[in-house]
Amino acid sequence: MINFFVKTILVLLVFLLSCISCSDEVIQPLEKDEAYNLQFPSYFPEMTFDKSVNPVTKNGVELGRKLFYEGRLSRNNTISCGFCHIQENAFTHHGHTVSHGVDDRIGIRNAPPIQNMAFLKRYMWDGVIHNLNEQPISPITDVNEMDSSIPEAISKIKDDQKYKKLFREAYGDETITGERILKALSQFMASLISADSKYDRFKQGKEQLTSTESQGIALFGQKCASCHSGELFTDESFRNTGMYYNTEFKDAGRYRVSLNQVDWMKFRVPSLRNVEYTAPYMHDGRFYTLEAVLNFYSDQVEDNANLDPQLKQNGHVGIAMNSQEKQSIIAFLKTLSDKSFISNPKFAE
Amino acid sequence: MKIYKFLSLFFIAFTLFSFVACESSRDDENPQDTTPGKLQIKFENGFNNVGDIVLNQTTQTSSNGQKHNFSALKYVISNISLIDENGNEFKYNENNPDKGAFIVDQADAVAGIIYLNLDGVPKNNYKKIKFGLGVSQKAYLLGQDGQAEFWTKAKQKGMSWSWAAGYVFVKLEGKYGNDAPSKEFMNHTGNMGNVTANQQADLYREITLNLPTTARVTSQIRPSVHILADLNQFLSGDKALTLATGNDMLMGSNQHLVDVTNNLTKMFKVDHVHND
Repeated sequence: MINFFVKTILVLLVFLLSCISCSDEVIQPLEKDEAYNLQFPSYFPEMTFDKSVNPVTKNGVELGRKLFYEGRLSRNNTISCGFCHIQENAFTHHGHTVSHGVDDRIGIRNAPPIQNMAFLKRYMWDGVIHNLNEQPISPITDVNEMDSSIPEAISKIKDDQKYKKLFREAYGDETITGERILKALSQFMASLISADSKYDRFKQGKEQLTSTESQGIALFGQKCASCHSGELFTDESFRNTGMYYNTEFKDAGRYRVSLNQVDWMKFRVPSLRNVEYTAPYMHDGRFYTLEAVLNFYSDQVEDNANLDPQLKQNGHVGIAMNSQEKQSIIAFLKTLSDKSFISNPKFAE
Repeated sequence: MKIYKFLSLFFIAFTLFSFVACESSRDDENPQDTTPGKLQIKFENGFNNVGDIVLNQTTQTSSNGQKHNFSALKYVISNISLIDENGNEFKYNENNPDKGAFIVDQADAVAGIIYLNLDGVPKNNYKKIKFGLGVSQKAYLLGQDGQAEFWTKAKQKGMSWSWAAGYVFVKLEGKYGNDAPSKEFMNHTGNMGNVTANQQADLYREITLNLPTTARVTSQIRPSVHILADLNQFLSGDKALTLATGNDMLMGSNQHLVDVTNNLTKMFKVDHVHND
């Protein structure tokens, strides 16, 4: 009989213990926050991201990642940032000329990659945004993209225990504000640094280029680098490259921002890092392959009043390249592919 | 205390007896061997009157006169179940995408056929097969962690959006035109996340097909169910569809894609069953 009592007490104890361990899970200790180390090579341009305004922290980046893949930032809860910015394609909308948003509404532009944002001065194809902390407002509120608003997004996630915890971990308390959402998204985007391509390893003396790639890099320097300059392969200028005006989208690029005729059909020079993964190309995704892009520059550039002088040197419209040169340039462009960036689980949903 | 002793003895005796009972029935009637078996499903995508679809090659003319071909042709099959002579249903990993969902991708076809292999199918004579086109809401709502394996697979196959939107159910891409297939089209069907909460159409469909020959699953016989999918149904199905600028680049579940889904739901038929 004594045995029986002991057993009963034991059983009760186990039961009680399991209850305690349950409640333990609810009051889990907060994830300790610390500064997030943004690592990048010494030859990268100076960081434009202002960490004094928005300190990048481990928990802030993690909150940003959750928000980046959060469908409830869109009107019907289905279109997260990650919907059009797919990691495997260097955060572009692979295969889609222009992006599809809420209710399958069609945007007017090809989703640009999200990489090395902390080093850029301007964002979007027309450079309308200058501060990464403000960038997400544009897709969240655009009627063809996520068609929502910051207050609407806040109202949908504010009672979610998961977010209460994440906001507390990132900001010290669980208050959800628009500024905090935007800054967390911005921290996540700042953490998306792509600097581990073959080209980078070549720069660091760790890997050799093939002879075709070396020819490509030399040709690129002669024919492309006046606009696609520096280690991010963009001078961040706006240029008219002699592309036809696409009446389907009625998008004249920088002109939409300035309404100044000199900006007609000028678009921001895009970075070429990971360009192999980001087809289709140009602001409206009109070209499906890198070959098509180079064929455009050699043969199809249309002369117009705004055509960039770089594309009309000595009276010749376009960039003179033969097909072998094009192949070499493409071989070089592929050395800008950063496999670890597109497969890093830290950036994944 | 005596009663305990008696009870435990009784228990031991009973357990032993039931063991023996099992053993003997097994030994005596080998044909009644209940070891589960396997079943193979073959999907053959074609245009009924033209034959196997070769990506980027086979061109078909729709009932509305449009020439079209496919460069990508993929769909998700899940919730397969087999129905026996008495109407009993064996559900193969129901609402468990990691184990019970498959991607039929024409790019994987071997001599025109894509094979799905099912294990652990109870020995029985099956008269019908049922399967889902797409992923059911119930499975989707298990969450991303509840189907990490299939989600990754879908991602690699380009059959996923971001999680908030979910899976692509059917991916049809190719070219179309009046004289020749020249203009690109992309029709990607699939549910937009939680369809009830988001007030969206539910594109998941279940299809039941009769087997012309009974599929006799035993540990020895692995029947093979050969399913023909007639992609004519895409544009020339119950509702004849015409591709145009308004619907040639669509993804999700809007009305055109509901029509596409309803058409495709009718495209399957079991051509024959092998019992060997």
